[in-house]
Amino acid sequence: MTTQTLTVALSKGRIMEQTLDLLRQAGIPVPEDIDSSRKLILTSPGGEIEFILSKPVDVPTYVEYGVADLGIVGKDVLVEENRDLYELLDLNIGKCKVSVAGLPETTSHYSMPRVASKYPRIATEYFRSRGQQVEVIFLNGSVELAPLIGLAERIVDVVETGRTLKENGLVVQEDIMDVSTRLVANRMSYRLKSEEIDDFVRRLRAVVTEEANVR
Amino acid sequence: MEKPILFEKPRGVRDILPPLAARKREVEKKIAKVFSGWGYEEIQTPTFEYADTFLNGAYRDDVDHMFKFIERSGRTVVLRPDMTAPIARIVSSLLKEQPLPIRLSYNAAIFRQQDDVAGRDAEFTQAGVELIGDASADADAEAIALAINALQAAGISGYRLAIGQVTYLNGLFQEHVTDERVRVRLTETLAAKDFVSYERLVATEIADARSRDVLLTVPRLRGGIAVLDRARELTNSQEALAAIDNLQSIWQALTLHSVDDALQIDLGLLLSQHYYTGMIFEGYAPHVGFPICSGGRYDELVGKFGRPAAATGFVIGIERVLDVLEKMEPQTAETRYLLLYEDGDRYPVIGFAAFLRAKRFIVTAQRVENVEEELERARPRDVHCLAFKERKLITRDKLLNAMYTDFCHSFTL
Repeated sequence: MTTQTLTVALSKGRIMEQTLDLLRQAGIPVPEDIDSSRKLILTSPGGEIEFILSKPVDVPTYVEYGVADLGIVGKDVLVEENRDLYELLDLNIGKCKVSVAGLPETTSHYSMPRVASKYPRIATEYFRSRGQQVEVIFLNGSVELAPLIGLAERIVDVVETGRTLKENGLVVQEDIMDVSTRLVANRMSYRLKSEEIDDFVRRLRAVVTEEANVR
Repeated sequence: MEKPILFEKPRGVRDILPPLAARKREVEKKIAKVFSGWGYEEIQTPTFEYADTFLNGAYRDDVDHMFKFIERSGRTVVLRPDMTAPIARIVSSLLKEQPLPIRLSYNAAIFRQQDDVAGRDAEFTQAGVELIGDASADADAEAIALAINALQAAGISGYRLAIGQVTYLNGLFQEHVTDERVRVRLTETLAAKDFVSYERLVATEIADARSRDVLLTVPRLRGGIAVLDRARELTNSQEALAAIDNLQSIWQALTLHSVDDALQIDLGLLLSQHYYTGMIFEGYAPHVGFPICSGGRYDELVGKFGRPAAATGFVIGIERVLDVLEKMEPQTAETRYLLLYEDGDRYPVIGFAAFLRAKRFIVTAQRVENVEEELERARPRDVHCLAFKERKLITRDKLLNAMYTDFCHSFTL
């Protein structure tokens, strides 16, 4: 890798640990204290790569504006944020679904059924494409709560194991999309740092393919 | 809906204040000078035109993004969403007797209603050229070289242009993908820069192993001139091979223009405009995540207005260029002189100010009630304050003192 620095925005939370494992396997230098540190910007030991740790939903924004060259983030966030980015690689980790869920025996009789979601764009697009009129209510978290307290009949949310739904007595009604973690690039960086980015992709692709073969 | 606050503006438009407005004008002038130096004549067209002008030939999918209004006659009128269609209209009508090739340039405000805010204005300035009536590789090379020369003149460095060829992809897809719907979807995913969906589509829809390999290689075909040899090996399609020959000729011409070090060939490149028929390109500069210029060959469009002609051209986004310049280097202001005077000194101050302006100084003469008080006021660093009191110039600025002596001699004051 040349001395020109790449800046990579990583999503904190659910997929962080797997992401770091994958980067290490790919031989991409990762700061040792990245798991434990509370710093938001960390530099790899050799200074080749700068990592920004951010909320997943902000990763596409950092990348689109070019403050990060690359980003690692879930497809759910990418679709919801709808930014103009290069989607370079499926990392095959953080797999889950975005689904419609609700209480078991509810059928909507309302003229304007309500759907609560952290993903207003995905939810709106999905129901629109199926010709259903619904009111989408944007919530920031604990979306499962909405049907329990009568705010909405259904929710649109990510389902990984289905445990949270089950514990709250909800069932999946329809699946909207498959989600996995993606590597994205800013358009300018994809051009101006093409050699570094191609190398980064090549390294990751090698270990991602391996993983897929094992399965 | 809430009534806007008095000083509010619609989304996506901006005021450009001093000193940025001056810098913008400066950049526009520098670019225009390069355009005219290459023999491109400036053209101006109306800010709004019939919607039909832009919908002619149904080559665009951004109808929703036009600002539309209804003229008294009941016809729909739009604020121009580009300059290419108006120029095609003019070449086919007002200039239809003028022999081809025609070289035209412009610097114009463009209007588009945007979905997303990031880096996208609803009103923005494009400087661009159209070279109409020349289908040769030399014309395409001229467009690219001119774009680079204009960016350089504007003060941009560290830029890179990616060059692609839409007919290469067309030919390759025709050859390796039998199902037309799959071809369309492959094109769409590439244009959306979504390589993950593209690869998945190839994996699920293409049965032949060799075709799969070829299709998976294409988005990664980027780099210097050597890329063209690899691209050639992937295809037997006449159309695709002709596209490679075309890029080869363009590249050869570009080396003579001495601009090839800023270029990268990218055979997976597709741009959002649908009217391109050959070479396409897109340019980026450090610190700004959005393209600063883009263009390509569009041989079908002019004919839709009644005068079939090959054409190539490009646009430079002036605001994007300004963004790059601001991040590269803060603006340095020129020194300005402020001559303060009271009533009794109107003569000679007005004359002296004119004398200085004739010598290219930037001078403002300002009448005040009390010169001493005004001298105490804080002013921007680039403003040099001078005061007149009872026919005497009060300043320690040697240059200005000398100028004043000159002035007094030449007018025997």
